Amino acid sequence: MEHKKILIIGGGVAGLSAALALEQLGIKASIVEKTGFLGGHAIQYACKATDQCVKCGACVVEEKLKAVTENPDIRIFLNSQIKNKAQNNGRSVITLNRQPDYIDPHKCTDCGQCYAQCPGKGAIEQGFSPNNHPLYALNADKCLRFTGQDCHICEDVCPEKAIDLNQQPYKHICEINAVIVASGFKAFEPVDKPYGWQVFDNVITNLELERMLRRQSIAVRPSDGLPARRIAFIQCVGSRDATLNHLWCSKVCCGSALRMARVIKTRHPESEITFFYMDAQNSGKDFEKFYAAVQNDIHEIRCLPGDVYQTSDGSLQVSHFDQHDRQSVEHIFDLVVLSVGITPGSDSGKLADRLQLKPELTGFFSASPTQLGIFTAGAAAGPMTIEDAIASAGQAVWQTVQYLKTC
Amino acid sequence: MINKTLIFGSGPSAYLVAEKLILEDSEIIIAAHGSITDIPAALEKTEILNNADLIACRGAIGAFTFTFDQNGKTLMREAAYAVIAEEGERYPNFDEYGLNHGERIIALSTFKTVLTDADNQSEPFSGISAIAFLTGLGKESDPVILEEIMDSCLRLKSACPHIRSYILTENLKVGGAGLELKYRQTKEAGAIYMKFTHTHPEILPAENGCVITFTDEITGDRCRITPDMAVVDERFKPSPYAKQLARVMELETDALGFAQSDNVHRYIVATNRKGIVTAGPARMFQTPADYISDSDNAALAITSLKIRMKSPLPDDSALINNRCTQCLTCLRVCPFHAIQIQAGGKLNVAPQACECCGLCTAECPEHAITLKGCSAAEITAQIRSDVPLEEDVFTPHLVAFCCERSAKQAAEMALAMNMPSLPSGLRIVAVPCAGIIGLEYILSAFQSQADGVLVLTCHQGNCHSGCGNISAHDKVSQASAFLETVGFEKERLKVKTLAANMGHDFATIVNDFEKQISNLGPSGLKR
Ligand SMILES: Cc1cc2nc3c(=O)[nH]c(=O)nc-3n(C[C@H](O)[C@H](O)[C@H](O)COP(=O)(O)OP(=O)(O)OC[C@H]3O[C@@H](n4cnc5c(N)ncnc54)[C@H](O)[C@@H]3O)c2cc1C
Ligand code: SF4
Ligand code: SF4
Repeated sequence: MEHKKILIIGGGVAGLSAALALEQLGIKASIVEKTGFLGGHAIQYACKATDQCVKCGACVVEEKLKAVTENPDIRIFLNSQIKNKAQNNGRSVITLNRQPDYIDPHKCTDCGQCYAQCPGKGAIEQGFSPNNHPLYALNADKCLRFTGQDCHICEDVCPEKAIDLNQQPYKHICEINAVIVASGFKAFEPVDKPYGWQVFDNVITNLELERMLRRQSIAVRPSDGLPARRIAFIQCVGSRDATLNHLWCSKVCCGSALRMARVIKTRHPESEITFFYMDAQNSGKDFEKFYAAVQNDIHEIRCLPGDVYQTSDGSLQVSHFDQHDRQSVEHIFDLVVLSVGITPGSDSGKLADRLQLKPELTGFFSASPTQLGIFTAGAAAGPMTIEDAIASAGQAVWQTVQYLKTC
Repeated sequence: MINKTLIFGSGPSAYLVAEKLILEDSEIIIAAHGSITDIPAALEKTEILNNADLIACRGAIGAFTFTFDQNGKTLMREAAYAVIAEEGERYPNFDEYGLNHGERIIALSTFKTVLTDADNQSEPFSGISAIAFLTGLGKESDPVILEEIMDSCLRLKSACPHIRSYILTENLKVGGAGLELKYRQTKEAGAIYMKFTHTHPEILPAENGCVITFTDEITGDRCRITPDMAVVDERFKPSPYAKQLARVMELETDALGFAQSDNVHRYIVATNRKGIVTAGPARMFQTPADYISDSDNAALAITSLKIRMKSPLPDDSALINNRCTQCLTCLRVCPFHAIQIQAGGKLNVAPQACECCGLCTAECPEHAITLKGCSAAEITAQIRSDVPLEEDVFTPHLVAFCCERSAKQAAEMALAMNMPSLPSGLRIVAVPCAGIIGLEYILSAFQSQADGVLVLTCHQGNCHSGCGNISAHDKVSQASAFLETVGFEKERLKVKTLAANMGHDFATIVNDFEKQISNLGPSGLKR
């Protein structure tokens, strides 16, 4: 087994877990990650513990990431994607398209000078965890240099001379024995929903709230940075939605919203939190107890609002049809959080083509692909929690090991 | 060296794990609490212990000894690893709905059996034209149950198309793979769903089935249905024997008694005892797909452990020296059961089972246990390094004892991301588990010019070492009480909880603490 090589596509918690499990068996794993940072979605989340851990699993991702980056046997290709896969004597030959790192990981000390001084909005991105190294990555789409201007501020300010914008994309070819697809999901983008996302500053998604809580521990209104006192969570945005042909429940957003609501309320008891929902889904082993505790803290309205308006003072007005009183009712909030769901990865169609896989009708990958030597792990195969993603990575590794015996 | 794996169980979960381990050439023994009659072909050569009741478990990974009572006789087996793969038990919610079991009021499992038999009967469900499924009323249900109900509806529809299905629930648990789609399919097949939010249906047994009266929450109308049969949902519990196993092996359990705590650091099949894993409904209730995934993960875990056992012994585990008086304190405190009693009563640490938390070193009254990073000399050296020189302007010198896996990581995050900057007089002392910090170290910090001392642990329920964090909190309150009695400001000592991803909170805690200590001024213990 020691001379076998496995390629893992995607460096989210599923990919990281698979790499660690393979490494423990003495099998070499490489992770191909298309962005500049490992950790996927879940490395962006905040801890939602009150005095007690509420079992969201986010800190486990932190730990996995640390273990992977400290392990010299796991190869990591950031800013890379699969170009194609060809067959050669039972082994697959994979060609990777590698975008340059631009920031040399061996020289960079994560000091953040480039991030602080870059004039291009969002051209230097910051990772989410201190275990992301380099903690900064260059986004060529937003970099002034790559949009035709003569900017080299980052190269100049870097005290370590770690930045080189003249690097060119290149190809990397490797021979491998099996592939684990762990390319994750795309959080639904609610642009077409009548909730004013990206129209009103104070309408954000659950993912944006997770990031906000991670960065600053408090829920604020993006418009003015002041604490948000009246907060609404609107569930099932982009999930369980026949008009989108999204006939699945995303499984994680009820738990995510309820945990965030609870931690906000615990830290700031003056917060007033409303939860618009269809059916509250379980999260964790002792959901009954957890849910009973949250219900004391929040106001539940069992219906999804029709729309969201901005009032003249910048607050948000949410209207819904009250079944009991048979009329439309309005509520005012400082912050509206849209619990967007888990949808198939943005380039999963392309990836499927390159691997000659047929995605399911939903657009997710099958949990047990029929192509020899290809396995799936994590939310690439449908909505999953962090725990599920780790379990499915273990399963994919087990299947891979059984497969390797046959070739 | 023994290389066997002992599997506890006598159902699908145990068989799945066994079959997979056989693929990896593992020698296995299956210990069944009852007696196994129908052994799958793949397991024919396996040793099977029937009617084996576990009464003791000694040893550690690589060398466990399990003692059973088998029909009054004592039976011992040695194994390197063990898997708890007992089946779970299901309890119908009759009491919760105020119903008694009867011919027309039955549990979901019973209904599934009737439905399976229905294919062979000419007139199954004769005299029945409507069936009500009751689930998650007043209690939270589960996607596993909803899936069984929906599958039953679909089967019923094809076996007996004339029977109407009602499904009464509060929160429809569609949070599982494929369930929203199935929900739509059952609706198309004619199933009628009634969801309750603020009201509860009133369910009364009747001669033929039951009478359900409720308020339609949309129209406000009072309604009544009279199904000929009511199918009551079930909740899952660990079997009493699985609970016994956890007790005998001294494993952490969750609130419901399953043989795995719900600590996220035990994902997926790990227990607090290295070498013992738990799979299937022994650790939580599951779908059939989870059974398979769990058996894969259990087989993977055992295979990885086997490889690890073949590699050189770790050289960083705790060591017991000859100062030991065999008081057995360490045996009691080790969360991982790594301390073993040798023949002749001597104690030693099983190196592969030791997780290097250091709790034993802190509790041993004779200071007879050493562990790298945990000795008084090392911790004191950390406390004493960087002691600031006296300055004209008072800058509080703060010592923060940080759990390596949580608070220390949060500190790294705060530093890397500048969220916001940390006090200049802060000294971070990393320890493997905050539970090792007691009065001695706290006093040592104050004697080494500290104006304030923080003990930063992980959150309750999130400790790698089970309850090292609780121990830390206890020790800090004892130390506070002591400081108070000797007339020292106890405000200079504080304990807080953090997770690895709480960089911002770390910064807030230490900066707030610095402010408080600034207000208090320099510590009186400063020379
Ligand atoms: C708002 C929100 C909150 C949540 N909260 C929780 C929670 O509290 N608890 C919980 O258990 N779960 C939660 N979840 C679910 C959790 O995010 C997922 O279970 C987890 O992220 C799945 O991990 P993954 O590795 O499968 O996918 P991802 O996290 O999506 O990672 C996939 C990785 O693959 C990379 N990638 C994608 N395509 C390619 C490609 N073609 N080539 C190379 N790399 C590629 C991506 O860049 C990414 O890094 C939440 C989800 C959301 C949306
Ligand atoms: S709440 Fe989540 S991030 Fe916080 S300690 Fe618990 S599992 Fe970890
Ligand atoms: S988990 Fe909750 S919010 Fe998310 S899709 Fe399912 S029901 Fe809707």
